[in-house]
Amino acid sequence: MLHPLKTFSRGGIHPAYNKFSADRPIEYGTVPERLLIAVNQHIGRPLEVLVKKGEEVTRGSLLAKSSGFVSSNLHAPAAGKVEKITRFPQLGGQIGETIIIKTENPGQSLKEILDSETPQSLRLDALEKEEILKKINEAGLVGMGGAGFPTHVKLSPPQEKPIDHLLINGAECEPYITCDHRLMLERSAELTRGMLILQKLFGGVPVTIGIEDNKPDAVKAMGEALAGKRGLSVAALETKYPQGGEKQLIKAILNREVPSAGLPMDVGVIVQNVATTLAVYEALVYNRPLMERALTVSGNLIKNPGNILLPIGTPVSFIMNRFEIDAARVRLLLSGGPMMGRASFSFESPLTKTSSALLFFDGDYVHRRRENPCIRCGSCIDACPMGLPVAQLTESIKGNLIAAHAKGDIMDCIECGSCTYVCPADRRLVQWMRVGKSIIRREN
Amino acid sequence: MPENRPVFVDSSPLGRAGESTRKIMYTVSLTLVPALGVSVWMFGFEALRVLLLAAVFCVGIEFAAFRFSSFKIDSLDGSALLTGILLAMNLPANAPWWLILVGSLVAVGLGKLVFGGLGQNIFNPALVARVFLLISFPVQMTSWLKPGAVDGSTGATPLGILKTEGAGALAQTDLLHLAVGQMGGSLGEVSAIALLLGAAWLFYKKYITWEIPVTFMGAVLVFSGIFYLINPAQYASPLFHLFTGGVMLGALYMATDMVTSPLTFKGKLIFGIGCGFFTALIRLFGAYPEGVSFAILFMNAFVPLLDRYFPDKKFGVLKNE
Amino acid sequence: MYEILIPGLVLSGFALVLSGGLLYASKKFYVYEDPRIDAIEALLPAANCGGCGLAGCRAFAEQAVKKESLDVICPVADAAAMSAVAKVLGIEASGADKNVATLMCHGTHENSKEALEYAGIEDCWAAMLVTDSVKACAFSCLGLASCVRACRFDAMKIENGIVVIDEEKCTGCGLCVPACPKTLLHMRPQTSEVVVCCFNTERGADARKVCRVACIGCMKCQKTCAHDAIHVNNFLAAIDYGKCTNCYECVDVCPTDSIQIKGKEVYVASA
Ligand code: SF4
Ligand code: SF4
Repeated sequence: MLHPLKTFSRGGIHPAYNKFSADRPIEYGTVPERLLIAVNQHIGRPLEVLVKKGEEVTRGSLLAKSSGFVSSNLHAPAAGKVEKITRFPQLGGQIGETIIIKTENPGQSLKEILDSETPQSLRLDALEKEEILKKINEAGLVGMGGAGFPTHVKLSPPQEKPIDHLLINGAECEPYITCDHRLMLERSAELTRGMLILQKLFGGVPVTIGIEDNKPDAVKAMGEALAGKRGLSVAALETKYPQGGEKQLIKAILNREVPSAGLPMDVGVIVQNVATTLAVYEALVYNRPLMERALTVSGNLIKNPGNILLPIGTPVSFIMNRFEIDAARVRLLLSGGPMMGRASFSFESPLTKTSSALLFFDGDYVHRRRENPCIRCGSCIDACPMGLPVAQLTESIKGNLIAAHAKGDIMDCIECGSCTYVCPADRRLVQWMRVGKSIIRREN
Repeated sequence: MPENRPVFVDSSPLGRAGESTRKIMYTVSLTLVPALGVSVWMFGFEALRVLLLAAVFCVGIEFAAFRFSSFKIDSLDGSALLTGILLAMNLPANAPWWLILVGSLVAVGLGKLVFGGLGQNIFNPALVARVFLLISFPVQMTSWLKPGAVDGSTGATPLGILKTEGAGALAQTDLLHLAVGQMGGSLGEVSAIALLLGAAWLFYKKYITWEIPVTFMGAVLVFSGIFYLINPAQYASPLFHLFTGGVMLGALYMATDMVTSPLTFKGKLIFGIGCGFFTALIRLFGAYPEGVSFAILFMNAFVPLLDRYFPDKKFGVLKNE
Repeated sequence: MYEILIPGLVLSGFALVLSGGLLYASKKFYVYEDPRIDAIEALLPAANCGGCGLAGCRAFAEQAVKKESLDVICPVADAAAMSAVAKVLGIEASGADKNVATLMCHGTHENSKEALEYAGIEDCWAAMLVTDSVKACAFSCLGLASCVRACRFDAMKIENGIVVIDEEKCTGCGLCVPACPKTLLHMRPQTSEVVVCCFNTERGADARKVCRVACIGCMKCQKTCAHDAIHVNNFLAAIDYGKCTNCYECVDVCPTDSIQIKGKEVYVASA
C-alpha cells in the first residue's frame, strides 16, 4: 500500500489475535427454556421493574422501564411467563436483580421469529431528528461493545458541542472476538442504512467506519456497500490493540486528541459500535427493541468456535450445551475478550446487551503467578496508549499515597489492559488502577 | 479430576505476553557470554575463577538473606546472578577470593537488599561494589593482569598509561586491538565488539532501548573530542576513549540497568548525556584514570528527579500544561 | 600539634556560638503550653492510631486540656490510664466498657463453599471490583485481609477463610470497621458475649442454600428472648447489646447455629 495505514500514535500492543471464528457465519440460535434477564444492563439510573411474578409476557413487551434520561428500557425477547424476580450472579461478577421468564416455545429458532417480522418502509428524508432519538430510546439501545452506555444519550450531545464527524467502530481489536467482523461481512447493506440514519441525525456530517486491516474482507465488503453514498467512507487501520478504544480510534482516523478527562464530543466526534449501528437500523425499520445480539463463542476449550445470534437472557449453560463444552474442564469463563472482558463464576449467568463474546478456557490459560516487585523496565509505560506513568501511579495507589496531580492521570486510564499484558513482574496494574479510581471516587 | 472445581476469577486482562523477570534477567546474563568468552581467552582460567566466585557469592548471599530474614526474596530470579556477573566484569582477573567476597557482600547487601530488594535500589549494585572496592583496596583493584600473560605479570590499562604518562605514550596502540580486546583491564572492559554483539540481542528483544547507550557514547565522543581538537598532543582521541575502559560495558549494560535508569524518554536522554559528560570529565581532569562507574552512580542519584520532571507526553494533555 | 589544635579550637568556637543562638531563640520565642498536655500525653498509649477521631495522642491531650473534659475517650487506653488522665484534669472518669471488633460472618470454607478461585490482588476492595463474592454467600467475609492490614495491634488474622479477632489484643480503636468493603465488622462491648454471626438478608431458603450457618430469619430467637434484646429484620437477627444479659437462650434455639457465644464458637454447624 502506498500510504502507511492509519493508527494511533502512542503505546499499544500486539497480542495474539486468535480469531478462530472469523470464517464462521453467524448462526441463528434458538429460544432457551428459561430466559434470565438482568434488570440493569446499562450504565446509568436503575430501572423500574414493571412485571410481577406469574405475569404473562410476549415478545417485545416492556419488562422494566427507564427511570430517567440516562437509563435504558428492557424488553422480553420471547413470549412466556415471569417465574421469579430474584438476585442472581451476572456475567460481570456482580450479583444483580434478574427477571426469570419461562418461555412458551423453547427450541423455536430465532430465524423463524425474525422472518415473521416485517420491515416498514422508511423514508429517510421524511424522518425527524426527535423521532429517531425517541425510537432509539424506546428500543432500549445501549453501546453493545461492552460499555453499555445508553445510545440515545450518546447521540444527544449538548448544543455547545457541535458534531462534525461520526465514527463507526469496526476495529474489533480484542483477541478472539469476531462477531462485528461477521456483521460487517454479512449485513453490510443494513449497516450502511444504519449509518445513513445516524448521518441524518447530525445533518449529513461525514460518517467513517474504521476497520483494522486484519479483516481485509470486511474492508472490501464495506467499501462496496458504501460506494456512491455521500459522506460515508471506510478507513483501513493498522492492526494494533487498543484501536477500538474511542479515543484511540479518533486519533487514528481523524488525528484529533480527546483532551484529558474529556469526551469524544469535545472534539466534535461521536463513536458508535457496529452492532449498535445495526440495532439502530432495526429499531427504526423493524420497530424492534434490542432483544437479541450476535456474539462470538470461542476459547481454547472449544472444538468449533463460532458466532451466534441469541436472545438476551440466554444462560451460559445453554450455550455450553449447544457448543458441546464440558463444564468440568472449564476453568475460566470470560464475557468479552481476554484484554477487557470480565471473568464470571456462574455457568447459569445470562447474556446481556453488552456480551460480545463468551470465551471458555481450561487451566492452562489461567495466569496465577503472584505479583513480583517492579523492576522498572518501563514496558507498561511504553505500552500505555494514554501515556500514563503506570509503574509510578500503581505504586502510589498501592501505598495509598495518591498525589493530587496524579488523580487526573489515574482517571484517564481506559483500563485497556496493555500494561498488565506486558509486565514481566506480573503486576496487576489495571486492577490497581481500578482500585485507585475507586479510592478517588470515594473521596469525592 | 475433582467434580465442579470452582472457576478462576481475576481482573482483566486475562492474557499475558509471557515476559517474566526471570526471563529478562537470564537473557541479559546470556548475552554477556561473548564478552566473557573473550575475557577467558585473554586472561585464561583466572577470568573463569573470578566469574564463578562472584556469581556463586552473590546468589548465595541473597539466598542466605532469604533464609534468615522475613523477606520474601526470589534468590533464583536471576537478578543476583546478573549482579554477580556484572561485578566480575568489573574486577581484574587476578582478584583474590576475599576481594570478590567483600564485593559480593557490598553489591547484594549494601547495593540492593538494604533498599528493600529488587527494584527498590537507587544505585546499580555492581557499580556500588566496584567503587567500594576501588576506594578501599586500590592496589588489588588496579593491578591488571596483562592479556595473554601466562606468567601472571601485571601491567597498566591504556587509560592508566594515559593518565600517568600522557597521550604520547599511546602512540603505538592500535584501535583495532582495543576494539577486539587486546588490552589490560577488568574482565568486562576488554572487548568492545563482544559487548556490542551481546547488546544487539538485547536491542532486538527490546530489553534495552537506544536512548541511553547512544547518548552516553555520543557524549563521551563529543566532550573528549573537543579537547582532542584543542590539543591532540595532550589529550587522547575520542575513539580511544570510546573503546577503552568501561565505556562500552557501562553504556550497554550498566547505565541501561532497568532498575536504576529513568523510565521516560527525555529522562533517558539526559541520563545518558550526563553519564557521558561526567565520564569524560573524570577521565580528562580527575584523579582517577577511569570515570565510568562514578559517572553512572552519580547519575543514578538523579533518576527519581528525571522521572518526575521530564515525564512522557500524556494522551490528551497539551504540552505546556 | 598546631595542625590539630587549630581546627579543634575553630570547631569548638563554632559550637559555642551556635548553641548560644539556640539558647537565645528558645528563650525569645518561648510559647507557654499547659504542662498538663505533656502529662496527659505521657499517660496515653502513644499508638497514634487515630481511634479517638483526632490526629494522634498529642491532639487528644490538647483537646482534653482545652475542653477540661473527656467527652472523647481514648479507645485504646485501659480504665486505669483513663482515670489517671481524668485525675490530671481534675474530673471523674466515666467507666466505659472496652469495645472489641466483631465479625458478622461465620462463612468458613466448610460453611459457605467457595464459588470461585480468586486470582487477583489480595485485597478485599480490589476483589470487590471484580466480583461480588468469592464464596457461595454474597454477604460473606472475603478473607482477603484488608481489615487485618488496617489493624495496628496485630489483633486480627485470617483463619479458614474468615477473620478471627483476638479480643485480648483488640484495643477497640475501630480502624478495621471502615476497612471492610462488606461492612461486616462492628464494635461491641466485650462483656456482651452473644453475637449474631451472619449478615445475609436473603430469604431463609436462599440463605440456607449458600451457607450452613446463615441466619434464616425464623424468628425463634426473637420469640425466645425474655429481655427484648434480639430482633429479626429483613430475615436477619440483630442483638441489642444494651439489653442482652448473656442468658444464652437464643443460642440454644437457633436452628442454624448462627448465634454464637464469643470465645466458645462452634465453627461447623451440626448438620
Ligand atoms: S494504565 Fe490504563 S490506559 Fe494505560 S495501558 Fe494500563 S489499562 Fe491501558
Ligand atoms: S511493566 Fe511491570 S515491571 Fe515493568 S515498569 Fe511496569 S510495573 Fe514495573
